[in-house]
Amino acid sequence: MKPRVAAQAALVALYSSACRPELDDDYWRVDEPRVLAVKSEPAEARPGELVAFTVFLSAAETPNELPTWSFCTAPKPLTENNAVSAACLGKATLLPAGRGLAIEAVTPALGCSLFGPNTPPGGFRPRDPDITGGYYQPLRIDVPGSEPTFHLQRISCELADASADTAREFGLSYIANRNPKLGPIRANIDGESVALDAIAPGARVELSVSWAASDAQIYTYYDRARQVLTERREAMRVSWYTDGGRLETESSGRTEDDLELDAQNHWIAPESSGPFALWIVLRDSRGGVDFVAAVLSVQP
Amino acid sequence: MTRALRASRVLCPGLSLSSYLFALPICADPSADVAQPMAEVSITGVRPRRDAAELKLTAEQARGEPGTHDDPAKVIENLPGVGRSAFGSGQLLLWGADPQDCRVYVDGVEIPRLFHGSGIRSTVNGNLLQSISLTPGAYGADYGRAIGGMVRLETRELRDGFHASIELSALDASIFTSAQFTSRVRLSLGARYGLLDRTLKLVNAPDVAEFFAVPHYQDYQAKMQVALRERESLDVVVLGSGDESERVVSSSDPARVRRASDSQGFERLYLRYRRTLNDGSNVRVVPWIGRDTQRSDASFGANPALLEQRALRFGLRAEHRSRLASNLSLSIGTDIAGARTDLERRGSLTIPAREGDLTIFGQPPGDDSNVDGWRTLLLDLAPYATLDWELGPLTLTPGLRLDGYLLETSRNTPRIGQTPSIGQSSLSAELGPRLNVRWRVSERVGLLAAVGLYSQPPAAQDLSAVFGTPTLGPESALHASVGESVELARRLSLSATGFYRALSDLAVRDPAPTPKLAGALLDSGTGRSYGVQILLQQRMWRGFTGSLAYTLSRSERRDTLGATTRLFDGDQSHLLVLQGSQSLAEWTLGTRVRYATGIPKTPVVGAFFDEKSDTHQPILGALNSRRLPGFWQVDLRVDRKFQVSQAAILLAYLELLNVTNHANAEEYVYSQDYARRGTVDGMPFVALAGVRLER
Repeated sequence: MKPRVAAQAALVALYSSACRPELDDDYWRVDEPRVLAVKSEPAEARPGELVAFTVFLSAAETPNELPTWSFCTAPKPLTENNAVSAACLGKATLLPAGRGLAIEAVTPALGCSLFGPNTPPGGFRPRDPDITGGYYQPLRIDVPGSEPTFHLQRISCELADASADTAREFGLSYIANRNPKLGPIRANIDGESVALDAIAPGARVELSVSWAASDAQIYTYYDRARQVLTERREAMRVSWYTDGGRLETESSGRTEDDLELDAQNHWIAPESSGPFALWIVLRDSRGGVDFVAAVLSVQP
Repeated sequence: MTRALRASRVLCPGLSLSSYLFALPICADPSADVAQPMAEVSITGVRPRRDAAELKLTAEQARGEPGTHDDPAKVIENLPGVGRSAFGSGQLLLWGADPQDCRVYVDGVEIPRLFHGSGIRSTVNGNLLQSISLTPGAYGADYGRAIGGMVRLETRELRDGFHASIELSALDASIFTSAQFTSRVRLSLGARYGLLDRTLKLVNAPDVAEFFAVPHYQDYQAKMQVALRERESLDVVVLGSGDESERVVSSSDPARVRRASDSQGFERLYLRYRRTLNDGSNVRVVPWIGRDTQRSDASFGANPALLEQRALRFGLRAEHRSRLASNLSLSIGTDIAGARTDLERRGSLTIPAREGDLTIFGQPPGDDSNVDGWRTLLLDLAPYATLDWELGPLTLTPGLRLDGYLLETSRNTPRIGQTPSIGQSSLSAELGPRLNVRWRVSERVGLLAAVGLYSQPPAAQDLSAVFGTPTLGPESALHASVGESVELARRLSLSATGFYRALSDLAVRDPAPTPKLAGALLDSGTGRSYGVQILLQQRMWRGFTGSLAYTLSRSERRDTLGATTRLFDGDQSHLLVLQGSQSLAEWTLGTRVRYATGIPKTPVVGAFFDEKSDTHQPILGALNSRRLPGFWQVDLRVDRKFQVSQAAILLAYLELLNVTNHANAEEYVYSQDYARRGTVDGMPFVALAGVRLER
């Protein structure tokens, strides 16, 4: 038989237009008043305890109509992917909690049943915790003229899906979350420290904030894969917002393995002079929050 | 006493006799300008049965069609009843069925996927294939364990002598050889190695990886064919395939870093024993064993999303086909399949998304996180019998299949501490009556109809006590089709088929705010798909071949009793493929035009701010209530043969895909505050040029 050999060589030329759409996604830009964060004190509480809530708005002045606050009592079904149930967007499942820029309210006593592991009798599926082992009570904040905002208040619940010994040990060793505290804002241009009120037009300013080592708390965590208690350290995130110039990123931060205690961003000052607002929010991975507002002055 | 059927027909190469006896063949002689006998053969035996909705093509014919990149299995895209899968997914959408409900077989052995992850290449080298058969539904009793359709690949009989093929393209490199060692033993070996990931790095935009995983793939095949005695053969076949892909979307914020690493693969080893007895009856026995692996390891910030499956699979297909009378033949057989699967899953219950989930492309999974590891064992023993009863122009093919499912899971409740696991075991029997009717109205006109009940066991990944429901039972379906095939002119045929599929007991998420423990899924889903498909086929005539395939269909689902009926995630109302090739002396020009209605998507009607994660989240409208823009694409192919020497031919070709560079939207994407919407577009204009030397 004659051997038969087929050889194929191909050349390819690909002409590709960009597949990615341009959506002008400057999430850090604040053009109109909006909610940037909500801080609760304490940052983690048992259901039925009194908690103080403060909203952090981008507006410099108090709005004409004060925000209204409502606890949502609708658990999220498994068919939904959002942080809260779509039912929380209606009114039927809301419990009024107060009105104002800061309120004090008692969190619903059934929090651990509705949003935690303590399901009612009858063999129901407990809620899944987040990756820090936490459960959260949704709190809705409505600021007139803005989209709804949901704050997730961390609630302390028993460890339900572990052995009795493990749950007891967890209860003894777990330390509730505390809010972190932002350090002062530092600004540098080419490694040289600059004052926030003396920035040259068009300058690229490195902004930096820090926090204390104790703010990235170490907490007891129940490892469901290994069925043991272990310790984890909080990850830290910093969100940046401004109404002028350009930020290189909307958020930066540190993982729980990263022991550094600061986060940076770069702000490109506009060519025009003037004061520009800067808002910074520090969050830990268990829901703790701190925030600060500052003014960046651009002067020729 | 049985009698042998004797038939003498003109056959297209590689096409089964059944195609001629039962329906209009989709076959062309690529070298003949006019109809010429290609092979005059005498066949002794009981003819194979053919399903009413089956479309079968030879591999040689299929690989020449425009847009197939020389890959025979890619011809599936050109056939009616086949939905267009999203760019890069490689999924099978047959008559509006979920890709998970469709099956792929090679010589009767199930493999997990037809295409590599990219959808560009099939997992089985085209050089090994004899034919490709598509049955979108309403198939006979010899196949089951699926409520969707199926694609069957048949490996080729190895030829005498030594043959080799080496192919190199920007997509991949492959080698295929076959050799005859003795008069009774032939062996073939093949392997393919994907180059697409490397090619795209050279020529494409770097942000492609943000939306689509570009896979690296490889596959291999080996077949030994032993002629034992006259009309008795044994094949030993090894198949393997693997895909890997990795994506990283970096960010200065660790919470916004996304990583995804996916790998999937399968191996199969099977024997195929075939014998034709003196009385004309046929025996076929195919025992097989294999392994499937799939690992999807992703993270969204610190949120993990892991799903790993490792399955040991095995089975046996045995069939005896005999003639009971001159107009009556009987097939009896058994189809056994088993799978022992070890699974591990970690992360949010909402990922991976299920069909019908309220989710938006690119949206991170929820913060909720859990973990589970479990094992399942599935054993399906399915005896079946089929009669072929010819009553003049009418042929009735009743069949009966009984699937006995043994299903075991290692845990029926989530693990708590060191409490020992209590498993779950269930036995169920599903009866699958089938009926296929053919009526040869005249030499040119035939009517076809089929109906049957089908079932499939639950997927192993749905049997988790944490993420699913260990007590799920089989899913069921009713398939029905009726059609007509007409020989309009010599080598010009038209077939039209109406189809209906009703689905029940589908596994769906429990929509209750607080579902039962170990009850995240319910078997309450129902659905239906229906439509009509038309195939106008011009076989080789004055150098021209072509086809027009059109499908009008609708596929709906209802998740629970009382829930609103919605569109299936992959529903496409109109599917049109027009393709043709014209030979002009040494030149061949070909074109393909495709149109498909955009798949349904859930609209975003607003957004709210999730302060904890510092993200906006979408407020969604009615599920699957808007569609992506329609897809259309024009491909061109031109090739020319050069007679290099008396024994060598050089083929040079140029294939232009999406020549109009039409931006086909594959997904909607949104700005972070969901105020603006854009689309991710699929394949741009691609030019593929190559040469092939045959000697």
